[in-house]
Amino acid sequence: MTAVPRMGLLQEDATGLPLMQGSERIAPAVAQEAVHWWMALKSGDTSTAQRARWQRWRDADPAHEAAWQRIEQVGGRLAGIPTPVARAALTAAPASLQRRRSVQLLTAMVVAGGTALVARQSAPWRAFTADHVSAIGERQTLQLPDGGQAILNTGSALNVRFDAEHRVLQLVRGEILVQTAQDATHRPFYVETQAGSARALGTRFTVRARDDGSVDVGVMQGAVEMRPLDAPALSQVLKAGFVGRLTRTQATPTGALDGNAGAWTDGMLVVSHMRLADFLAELGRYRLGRLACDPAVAGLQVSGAYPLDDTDSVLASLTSALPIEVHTYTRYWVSVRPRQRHAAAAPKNS
Amino acid sequence: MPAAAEPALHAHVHLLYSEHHGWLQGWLRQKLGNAFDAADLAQDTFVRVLRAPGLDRVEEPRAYLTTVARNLLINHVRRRAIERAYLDALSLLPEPVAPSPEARLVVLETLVEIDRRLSGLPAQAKQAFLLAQLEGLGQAEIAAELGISVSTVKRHLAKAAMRCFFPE
Repeated sequence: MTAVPRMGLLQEDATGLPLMQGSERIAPAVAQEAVHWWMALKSGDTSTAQRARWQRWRDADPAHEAAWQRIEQVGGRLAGIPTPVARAALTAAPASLQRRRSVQLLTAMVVAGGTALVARQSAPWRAFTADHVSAIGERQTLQLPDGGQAILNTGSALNVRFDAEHRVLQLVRGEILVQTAQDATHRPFYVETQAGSARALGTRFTVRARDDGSVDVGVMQGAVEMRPLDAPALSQVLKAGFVGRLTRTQATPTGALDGNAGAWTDGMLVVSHMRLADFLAELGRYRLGRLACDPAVAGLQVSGAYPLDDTDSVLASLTSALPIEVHTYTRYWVSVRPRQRHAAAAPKNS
Repeated sequence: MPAAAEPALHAHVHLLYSEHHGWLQGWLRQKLGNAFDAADLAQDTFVRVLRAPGLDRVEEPRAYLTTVARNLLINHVRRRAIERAYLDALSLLPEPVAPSPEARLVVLETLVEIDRRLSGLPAQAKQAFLLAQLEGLGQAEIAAELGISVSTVKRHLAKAAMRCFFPE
């Protein structure tokens, strides 16, 4: 049997970016040493003596310096990308693709799953091509063609699709509060989401697309019919004063509407007896980067009215009310932990 | 004047292309559900194949073509996913941060390349590496964040760093 020529597919791809690859090959032993130094310097506490040893290692051999430059190159390329953006892109690549161990399985998966992946996440559901997009921490008020209004909450994306028969808002990401108007031709009004649609039978309601793909609906006035995408027959009507959850297969009323549910339209987060972990998850929607909560303090209760436009000072005010401290690793990585008894100074957020 | 072997090779290439190009494009269209991408990928596949040595010794051209095409397809799907995640994350940034289309392309190439280098690593190792490299977290902090021991973090970091900084 003639061997199929092994074309340099992988090798060819492995050459990667010209900017990220020097021409000379790095000996594996030297590469290991460089990685060792990278880890030592990343460990958090580096002594002056250690840095001096590292510098001596670099100076000792041009091959050492060349190896170190490879590490610097990657760091330099990544440094120009805002951290939350790089993290989102590098972790949101299809996880199911990465976990498969064998290449054959991987191939089968992509070939079988590829079509669905490409098809389902096609045009209307891409946030970056949406008609209206709000940034993290931003709110936007939108006048609709029929005289109604939609308010976009933080990090939201919306398409407006009004035609002769229908009034449709496609909520691609985030949350909106809708105030419908009387339509002269009585066109039905829908908010479409990836989990299904919410048909307005009344006038004022919120729709929020969650990261897990489910959707929360809250009705302030009138009523809303929630219709799951894959099970339209199982629709549910939600009356004013109630909230419900919509998935692709189910519509479920989940309880009474919190009186403060629309407070975000005024730039406030109003809560009473909310778990700290839930509160931080909520607050995290309004700021870039990661806001983590130590499990040891997750159950503490939070009540009050907090301004959403300055989440740093909200965090600062929490530290005076609760036995917690705010640890800022980087601008984009903040962690809330139990307060250390020996902590000398209050944590600073700049 | 071309060397003696070349006309034969040209004929071979011509035959390969005329007999299988349409079929390959159809195969790709089925996988992708998109005729434009299928045409592009079919073209890329032939470009790769035509550059490969030993082309005249291929016995099962269609099996060979699909092997090459499948690799390109995986890259294509991954690239799409990364691009979408990247652009979605960008749209969350306040306007002044939004980069030009050229700058975006450079960033995308970087992300695709880094992702490719880290692919195949256990999810936790990749996560540990990104926490160190992107977030600047120390090893103890990563251990606390992921709920694993510092020695496991070190193992993950060493392995991921070798892959990312020194792809073979």
